[in-house]
Amino acid sequence: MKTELLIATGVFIGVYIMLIWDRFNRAVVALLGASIMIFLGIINQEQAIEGVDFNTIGLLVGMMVIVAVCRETGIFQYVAIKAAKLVKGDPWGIMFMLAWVTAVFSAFLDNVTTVLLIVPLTLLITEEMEISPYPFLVVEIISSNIGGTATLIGDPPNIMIGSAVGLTFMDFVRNLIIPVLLVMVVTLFIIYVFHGRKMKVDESVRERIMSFDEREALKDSNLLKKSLFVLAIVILGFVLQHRLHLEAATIALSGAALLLLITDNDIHETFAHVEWTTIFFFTGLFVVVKGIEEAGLIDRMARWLMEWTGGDLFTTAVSILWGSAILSAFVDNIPFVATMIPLLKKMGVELGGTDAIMPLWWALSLGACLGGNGTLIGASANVVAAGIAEREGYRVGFKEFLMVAFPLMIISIIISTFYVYVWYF
Amino acid sequence: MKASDIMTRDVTTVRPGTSLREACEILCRAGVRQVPVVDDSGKILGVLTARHILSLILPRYISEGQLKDVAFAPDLPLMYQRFENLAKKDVVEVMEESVVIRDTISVLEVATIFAHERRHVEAILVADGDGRLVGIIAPHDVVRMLKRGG
Repeated sequence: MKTELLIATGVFIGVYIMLIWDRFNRAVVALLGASIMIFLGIINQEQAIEGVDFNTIGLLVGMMVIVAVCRETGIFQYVAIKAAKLVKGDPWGIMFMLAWVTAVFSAFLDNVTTVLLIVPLTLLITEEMEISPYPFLVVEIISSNIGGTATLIGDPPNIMIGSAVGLTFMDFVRNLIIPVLLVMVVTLFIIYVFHGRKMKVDESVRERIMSFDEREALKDSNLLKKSLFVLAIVILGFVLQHRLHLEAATIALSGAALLLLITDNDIHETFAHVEWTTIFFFTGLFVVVKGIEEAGLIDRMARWLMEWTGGDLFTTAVSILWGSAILSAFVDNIPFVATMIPLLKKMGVELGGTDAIMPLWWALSLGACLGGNGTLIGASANVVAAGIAEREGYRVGFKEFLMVAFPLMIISIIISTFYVYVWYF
Repeated sequence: MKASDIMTRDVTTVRPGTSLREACEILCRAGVRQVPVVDDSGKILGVLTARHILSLILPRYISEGQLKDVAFAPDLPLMYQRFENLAKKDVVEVMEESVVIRDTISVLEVATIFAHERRHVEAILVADGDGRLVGIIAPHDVVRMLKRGG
């Protein structure tokens, strides 16, 4: 082994260990790893910057700005309350509706923002109903990760894959909507059989839910109109992305600029809502991965994976699907996907080119996104949701969550395996 | 001009051992927003404010601003239960840290504390050199002094 390869591998493993150890902020760890790659001469600064996928960064920042403005409108609370009232305050009905609201919003917003919006409202609804919030929280966490899988902008792994492979918003919808809907329906059916059908509340409690006035949630109709207008343009831009020949970051950042122009929101406050930790985490990781790529580790890993799967596309797809799901349940899926992207690109050359390996990208997306449901630490949204609940005195235990969520995650991956087999082979 | 020149000297206080319910009665009867908690020697231990009581009985996701506006929701039964549970506690368990200054501090500093953008201080307790309560200052005490022309 060359010295460079040894050093780069050491730094890469070090970064991974630090991320799992979770003692230091993940952005700091990634940036430090990136700096070490440069200091030790694995790559120079120019190569490091080359390694950063600014399309991913731009798309993330653009959507975070748009979401920061839109969340102030109260539209989310409006939709969620309206949904709860549609089922006349029936607890299982509310759980069912909130699950779908979470999934749909997660497909368009990032999952963390979605749970930040839905969890407090859910706690209020369950406290009003005087019933346990736990099953609601678990269902919402799971729905958020499932819903986020459906689109280019729903979950960071998809943003990275889409950007690296040049896949559009509609490519994701066309390829992932079927497995996502299937997983969602099966998951909710299982939850209904085991829990939902036993949920009952008094008539007076239902009446209290019916006395919610969702119109009061819409605070600023002017801001709402402008936000919905820009959001519609941005989504239309994503849908027509292929024909417009525009990268996703251009669409998101243009939308963000337009929204900031027509609304008079305090720009400092809006920018403060951008999750800079995530942005710097991505930036650092891209550089670390560039380091191992230049040092030749990605090449070797691709060769190992090829040897292991015998170069068979279906075996490779299933290995990626299951491997990424299990790994993503325990470690952050972002570094994993960042590593897998150059690896799969490398394998693509030997497996018949970009078009031939498309099923591998969908397998990676399904595995990495749905895998986040496996444990309480599997995705940022899970940790954030549990955090809000814990501050209100409802502790979501790691083991309790695992007992419910892990089997459901495995079922979702079985469904995805069938889908990949039937659809692509 | 010093803090001691503009403070109110007659302060309603409570002692440790007072229940929150009793303290609330004192708060309501005196018509004040806060009541200092002092020990037998008059040393300041903390302060009990009506706002702090409200923040304790509200769900955290509301008081911490994750759900900023709840105009759409009906009354929450939990609020009453939480108050009942809290009412039995000793004020010492419920009080918060107070803003305390020496009686010799300038009115400029007093005005600066009140004008702070994010702190929302409702009243400043004034102590002597031994940390004993000697008075209280509300924002309107400063305004009254300004109106008089110093």
